[in-house]
Amino acid sequence: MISVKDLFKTYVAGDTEVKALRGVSLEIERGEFISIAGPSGSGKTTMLNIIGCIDSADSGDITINGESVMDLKRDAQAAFRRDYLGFVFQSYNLIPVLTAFENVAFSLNLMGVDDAETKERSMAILKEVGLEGMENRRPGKLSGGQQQRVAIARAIVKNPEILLADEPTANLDSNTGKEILELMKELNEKHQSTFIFATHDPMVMDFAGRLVQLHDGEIQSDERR
Amino acid sequence: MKIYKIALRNIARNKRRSLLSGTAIAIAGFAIVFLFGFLAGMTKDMEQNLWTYMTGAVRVRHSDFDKYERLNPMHLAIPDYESLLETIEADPAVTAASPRINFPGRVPIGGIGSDEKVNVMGMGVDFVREASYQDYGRTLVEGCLPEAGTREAVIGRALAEKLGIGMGGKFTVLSQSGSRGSNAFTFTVVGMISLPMPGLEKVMFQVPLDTAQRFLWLPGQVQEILIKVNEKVDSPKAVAARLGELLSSDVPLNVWDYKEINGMAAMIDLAVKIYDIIGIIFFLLASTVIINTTIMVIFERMKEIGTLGAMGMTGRQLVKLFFLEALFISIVGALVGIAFGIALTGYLGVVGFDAMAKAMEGMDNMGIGTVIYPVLNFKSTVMVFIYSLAVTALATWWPSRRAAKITPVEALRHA
Repeated sequence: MISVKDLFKTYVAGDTEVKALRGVSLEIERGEFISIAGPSGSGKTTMLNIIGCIDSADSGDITINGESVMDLKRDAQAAFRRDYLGFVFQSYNLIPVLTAFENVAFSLNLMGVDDAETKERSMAILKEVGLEGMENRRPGKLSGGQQQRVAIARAIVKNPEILLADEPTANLDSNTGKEILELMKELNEKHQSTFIFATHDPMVMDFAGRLVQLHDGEIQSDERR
Repeated sequence: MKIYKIALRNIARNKRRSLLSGTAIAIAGFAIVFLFGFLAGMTKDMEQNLWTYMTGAVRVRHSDFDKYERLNPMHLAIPDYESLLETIEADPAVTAASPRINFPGRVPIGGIGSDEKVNVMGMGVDFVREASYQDYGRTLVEGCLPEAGTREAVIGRALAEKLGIGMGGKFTVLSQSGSRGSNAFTFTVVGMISLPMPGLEKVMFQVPLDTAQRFLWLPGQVQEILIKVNEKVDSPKAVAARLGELLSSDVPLNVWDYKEINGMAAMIDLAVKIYDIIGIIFFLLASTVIINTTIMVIFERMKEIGTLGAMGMTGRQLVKLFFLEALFISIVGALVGIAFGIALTGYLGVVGFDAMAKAMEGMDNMGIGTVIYPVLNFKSTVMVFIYSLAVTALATWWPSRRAAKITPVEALRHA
């Protein structure tokens, strides 16, 4: 379903060139729970960002469901992200002026879903991630684990084809991190979305159904469990 | 959750900064309302004073009088003025006409032979007709108007003080007559007038027109006819042009509108345009605060821009979010400033603004009084609001565009 072919990406910082990806190719099937792991600077976040259409590659191609997403114009990319992708960030990235419910509902608002359906789906997903009764709290009134649950609910509420999570457990303690991963695994099985993680957390790697190891912008190993 | 609701909530995120930005717009709005109101009041005051005491909206004179005015050519008068008045008053735009004779004179203090003399300016008017031309209800502060055919006079209160006379007091005026000789008449004070221009009040007295004609040897003649017009019907310029065609006399006539006569009146038109530009500059200056705030907000919210972009918000929607936030602050700031401006201008419009009275004393020849009554009008209220929104909207749209240019990955990386 996701086909990454010969992806190259180089960053230029002043006089220094950093080759983030050097010809990465990968096939990801629908519903996979996959970790892209590697040390800092290995290119895992770059790869995640390019798959998520928020960064561009220098060369190579990515097709999702048979369609190339590399040549989409800016607005078309935004529409693609809105309709097909969900993001979970390391530091949650919730909108501080919105409540938990509104943060989740805003994903559907952007898609033009009507108010009644938005409310029903948002409340249901918040219940599913264990935040029933906390819908009206703003992010500042929630713990890190609760905020990450809201972020997951925000990403999954629109039933995305792909959910991209960049170091989702890095800001959480190990117990909360484990709970979050269990929740994501459960949602992966229930919603059949493809979950792609960029991580260097061994716990995330243990949870993954497939582990792709990157090193210096190249795939070092690709292991299915 | 609509974008405008998020924008509204964002305003409360940094209340002090939003308040500061709104205050800058409010101060500009307040200042412009007052400035425009003050200017409108000054223009109206100037127009009223010029029309009433100096030039009329339109003035009819012997054409040579204008040419030799500095030499006080009293003999260059208009005969048979009553038939001219009939033509003038038949014009649909004319609201009042005042035939009059102005004559400079000197009043000796302490007897006719005294060397101490006070310069005065007499005005011969038909008091019956004049009551509808001058607002004696406002200016006559004591006594009554003189009867026709008598040697009664109303006198400027400041002039009476200068001459040391009160009600019932007498003063003798020496003046040059229409036959180029000299004459002296003694008048009795029956009324005191208070004029908006103190310089004029210090020299002016008014006597019946027929008395002035006798005194100045100008039987059946007047020096000028001042005309007031209803500008909603026609402009003074158009009325002057029309009457110039219609009026005929044994002597050549000049029929001029007040802007043609008094250059300063035309200057006011220029001043109004300059104030318009100053108004826009005021708002642009206030807008720099909003621009600065918007740029700061965009830098501060990089992570959110990245997140919203990743969620699928388009560049246009991001611009809208920041633009609306700045626009709401501007709208509230403008409304508050304009409300305060209207309140102050309205109040001063009733009680008068005399803080600059000293500075305005020398402005008599421009027709500007020392007490200005600011006027609220469409321009100083509705137009100022529209101005403020247009300028601040443009000023906030520019930095808001930046939000659309940042890619999500850039925003997330710099967060």
